Amino acid sequence: MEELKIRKILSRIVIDDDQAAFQELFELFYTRLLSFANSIIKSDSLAEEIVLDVFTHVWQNRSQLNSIARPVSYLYVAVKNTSINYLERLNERPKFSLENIDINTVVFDCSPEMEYISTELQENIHKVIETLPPKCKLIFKLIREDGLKYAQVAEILNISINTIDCQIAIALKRIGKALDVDPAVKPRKKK
Amino acid sequence: MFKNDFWRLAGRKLAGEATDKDLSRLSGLTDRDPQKAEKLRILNDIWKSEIPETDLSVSKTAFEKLKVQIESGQRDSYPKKENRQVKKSIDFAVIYKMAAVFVVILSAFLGIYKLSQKTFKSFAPTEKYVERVNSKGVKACIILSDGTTVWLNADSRLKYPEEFKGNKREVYLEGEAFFDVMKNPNAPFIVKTSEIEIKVLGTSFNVSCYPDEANVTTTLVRGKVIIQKETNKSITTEACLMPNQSAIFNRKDKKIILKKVDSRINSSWKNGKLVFSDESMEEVVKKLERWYNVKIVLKDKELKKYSYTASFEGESMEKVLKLLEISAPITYTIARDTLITLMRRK
Repeated sequence: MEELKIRKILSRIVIDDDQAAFQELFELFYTRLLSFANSIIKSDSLAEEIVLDVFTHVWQNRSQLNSIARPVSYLYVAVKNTSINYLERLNERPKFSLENIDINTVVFDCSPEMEYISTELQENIHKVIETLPPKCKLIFKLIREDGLKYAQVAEILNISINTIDCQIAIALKRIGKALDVDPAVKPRKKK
Repeated sequence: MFKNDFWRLAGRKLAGEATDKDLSRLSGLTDRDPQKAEKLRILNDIWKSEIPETDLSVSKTAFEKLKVQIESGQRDSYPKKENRQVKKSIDFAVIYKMAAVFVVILSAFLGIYKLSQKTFKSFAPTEKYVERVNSKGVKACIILSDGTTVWLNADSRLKYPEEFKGNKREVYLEGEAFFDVMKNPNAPFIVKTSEIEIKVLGTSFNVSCYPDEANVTTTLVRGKVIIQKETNKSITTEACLMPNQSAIFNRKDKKIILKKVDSRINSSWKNGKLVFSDESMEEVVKKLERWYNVKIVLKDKELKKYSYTASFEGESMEKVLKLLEISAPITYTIARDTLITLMRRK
């Protein structure tokens, strides 16, 4: 995600109290943050509440927005912390760990150029992604679907960049293995 | 797994994290192994395949809820229990604990706060200053915490504390602003510019201190202001200004001269009036650039000898340019809406 674009939106919020900019920011992040909150709290309605609370906080403290060094990570971390706080209250004992998260389906649609991948293989790939270990799946999703950088995910999840590098490799290796069984995947001549 | 193994390099490439070194290592691997090359190609297709667009109406609906939540100012007003769809995996009894949810929120924000201190140092509460930056073509009216009103002109910035504390009210200005200062004999109001400071107790005045201009001009409407300079920790009073006077500080020779003016002219910009009072073409050009957010080029040197006295209110830029054209042997062209060239009429 473009930090620069987000910075511009933020400065419109700070300088002009621009509600349209605030809505733009909200719409840019809402579904991603909702799904991120959901992977921790495992409840659609609570996840929504959490994201709305974070944005309420953002609006109420908008004069300080410009001083946030990395706004994208900030939003994710705020959602994470709020979710964990909810969770701790709900369960009395903290239950959060990266191994105990539940991530929504990672999606991919085959484009027309990818018709060489059979439906069967597609399903296989889906299955592989769905059965990735939670931590690996979450990292894969944040990098690919949310378009975050390794450094951002490292900050958000409080893990090292090396871990991310490694987890993405695990995900790709597993998908790569699923490709092996398909006869369609043979070395081909370059176009 | 090794640090530079194929899958790691592939991941970095797909995620846009690969360095040039990574990419050349990766192509070294794929060149030697066509099957790897093919896998990378397919993985790339999968990675880049479209992520189905999320339904924007979902975000829009949620934003309406957010607006209500913010406007009502109550974060503790939660939907009734029956609206909650807590997953069955969570013990149903916990729902009753929801009464305490608003405490949760508070602590949740303490959580954010803690984090912001740790991860985002600059978000610390000691940061009390707010900066307002107007780009060219934009004007703003700001009310400070003490009730002082500031009209900030285009291409200008004002830095001020969110809340004035102690026995001083200090703001920082670059560009031009008109101040209507709330009277407070116990806390002088000080406008700091890069060169001089303007100290007042309660009055209204205009300050123009654009960095690209030769002078810093302070014009007093009513009350009394003191122009002072801070040098090596000592503050020296440079001038004392009376209403309808301007103090013009020259940046080059560091001298202040006082001049009698009609203060309404110097501050009329805040009422949307663009005024030139016997101003040189160069000054006119600078004002127009800021006012209309355009770039103006003077093609012929002799244009600089013209000076103008005029007043415009709510006029389009073209109208202003037309008047320049009529009043002197000048013509102009506009390129890409924002680049204006003024030249001698032949």
